[in-house]
Amino acid sequence: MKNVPLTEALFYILLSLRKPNHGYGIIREVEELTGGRVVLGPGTLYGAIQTMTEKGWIRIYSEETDSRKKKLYIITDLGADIFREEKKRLEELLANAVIFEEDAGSEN
Amino acid sequence: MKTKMTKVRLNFDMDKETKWLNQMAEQGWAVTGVCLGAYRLAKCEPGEYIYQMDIAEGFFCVSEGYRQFMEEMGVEIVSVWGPWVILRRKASEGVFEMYTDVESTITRYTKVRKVFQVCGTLEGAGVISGIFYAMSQRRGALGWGTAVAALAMLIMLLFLRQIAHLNGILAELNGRLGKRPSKQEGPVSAFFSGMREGTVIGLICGVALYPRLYALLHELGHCIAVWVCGGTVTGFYPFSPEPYMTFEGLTGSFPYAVVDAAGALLPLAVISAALLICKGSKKHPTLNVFLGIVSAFTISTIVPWIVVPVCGLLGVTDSREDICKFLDNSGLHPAAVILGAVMVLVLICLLFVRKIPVLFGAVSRKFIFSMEALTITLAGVITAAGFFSGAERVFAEGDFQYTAENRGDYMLQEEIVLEIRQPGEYTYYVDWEIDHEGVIGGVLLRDEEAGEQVHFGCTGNWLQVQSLPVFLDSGRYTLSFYLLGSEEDWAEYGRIAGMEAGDWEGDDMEEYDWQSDGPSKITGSYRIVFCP
Repeated sequence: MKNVPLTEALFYILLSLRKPNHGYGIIREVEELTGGRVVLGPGTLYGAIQTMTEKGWIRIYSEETDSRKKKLYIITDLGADIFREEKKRLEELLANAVIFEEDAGSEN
Repeated sequence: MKTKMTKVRLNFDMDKETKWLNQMAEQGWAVTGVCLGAYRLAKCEPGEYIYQMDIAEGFFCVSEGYRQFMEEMGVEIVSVWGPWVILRRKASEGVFEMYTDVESTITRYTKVRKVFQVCGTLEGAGVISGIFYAMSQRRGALGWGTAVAALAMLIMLLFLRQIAHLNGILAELNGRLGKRPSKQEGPVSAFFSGMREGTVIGLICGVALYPRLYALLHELGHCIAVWVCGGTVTGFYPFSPEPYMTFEGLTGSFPYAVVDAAGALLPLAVISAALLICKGSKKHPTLNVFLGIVSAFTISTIVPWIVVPVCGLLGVTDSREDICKFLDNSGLHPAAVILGAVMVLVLICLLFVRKIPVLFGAVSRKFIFSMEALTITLAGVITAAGFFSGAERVFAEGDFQYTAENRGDYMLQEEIVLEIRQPGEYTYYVDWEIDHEGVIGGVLLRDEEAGEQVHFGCTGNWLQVQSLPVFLDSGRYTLSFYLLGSEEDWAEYGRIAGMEAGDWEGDDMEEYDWQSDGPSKITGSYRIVFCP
């Protein structure tokens, strides 16, 4: 099954789940990492968490019986593999992007 | 100063709705709840809240996880009505958007579209059942059936317009992801866009064929039970607008109870078996969806077996319903029948829910289950409503009155012409009151085309004549009322009715005191009831 490319939202959610994190924490971290460019909406985040939990990319880290406690999530090994695969893809993109500047520069 | 108010508006465009909610909040009115298009509003600081809408995971329900998650985000769930969720957050917490990237926005609009597609298909079922109802012989059926069909059609068109609108939005969003917009769609393909072809065929076939398929299995169930009990099937009309079958040769009440119940049991047995066998091969989405739709509808036919005995316990019965006949013939306590029906319902529902992923593929289990719960509830409400409104299958009814100057004249009173379109068994009742003793009322039912006497009956004052169920073919019949005031009248009536000597309890009539003088009057009412 084709897992990559990841959407920007999935990429950043996986990244911020390298350590246990909860919903609001994910939004804050993604906002900080992108300098406020990406602010995840609650609907987008909820849907992404549901999908990735179903696919086994992330899992619930703490199953608190106390409902007032926030639910923590963490990336799984499968999720980490997919993240690395995506990273490789992004590196390839970046490496190839250099060609654009080189060629554009040589024409001048 | 007013701090609360209610506003009524009907709108199923989620984006327009969100805009309106926010306009109201700007003006200092915060929506705090919704019920059937009526919005409760409370005063708030102008611009205190930002409102957003979402699509619920099921009908009228969101999961505990969703609730918790939104709470954590500082988002308040204002209301869950039907498939819609209204949410709000304090504006002081910053910009509030539910969906912030193209992909999840596409997912959301696709879900919204699916709601309209499923509900639109159910409206299609409404159109079909409306048409069938209009074709049946029940009183007022033509008007009601047409009205239901027209209303369902109108709603379907409104949904279709909404689906087309959503298709436009989705095409634009997909374009942003660099996907080629799909070619211009006609209304039918627009309605089903995003679904696989096989799914669409299964859906249409399921909705369109279900009424006939169910009727066939139902009547077949009766027939099999008759055969098993040693009777003979004399008529089998599963495809007439009001399906029925006739039989003879059963003795005792137990076999009758078996026959009554078999009509409901066979379709249930068939779908249970099909659900058990169904492995849900991905190669046959048509078959899966078809089975899904047909079983979803069939399951709801258990509901009357719960509602009708409850009505019976409350003292409302209708002797012409399968279920009432079953209660009568089996001698079972209504509570036992209710218990049995609830058990069957729960078992089949469990089986159905387990198979939802197989039958409906990617559609959320919760969504299908809540649609099914809605169907079951509706079936219950409709059954109860039909019962309490006295849903006897009255074909024709009216009053009659006749005054005779001189008793002793032979009198034909009133003739009512009946146009029977659907062959079947009919029973007529005549309730009458005659102002003097010594006068007899008579009724004759004649087949005009064949020129044959079908049935006759007569009685003294205040009594009721009830015919046994008589089989009437389609055609014209006349029901005539006679007032008989003398022995000569009696003889004349006997001649018209084709009574042979000894056919009737004629011996008693010789001693009958005719009191044949002075005017007389009969008044009464008649009712002709169709018994399926």
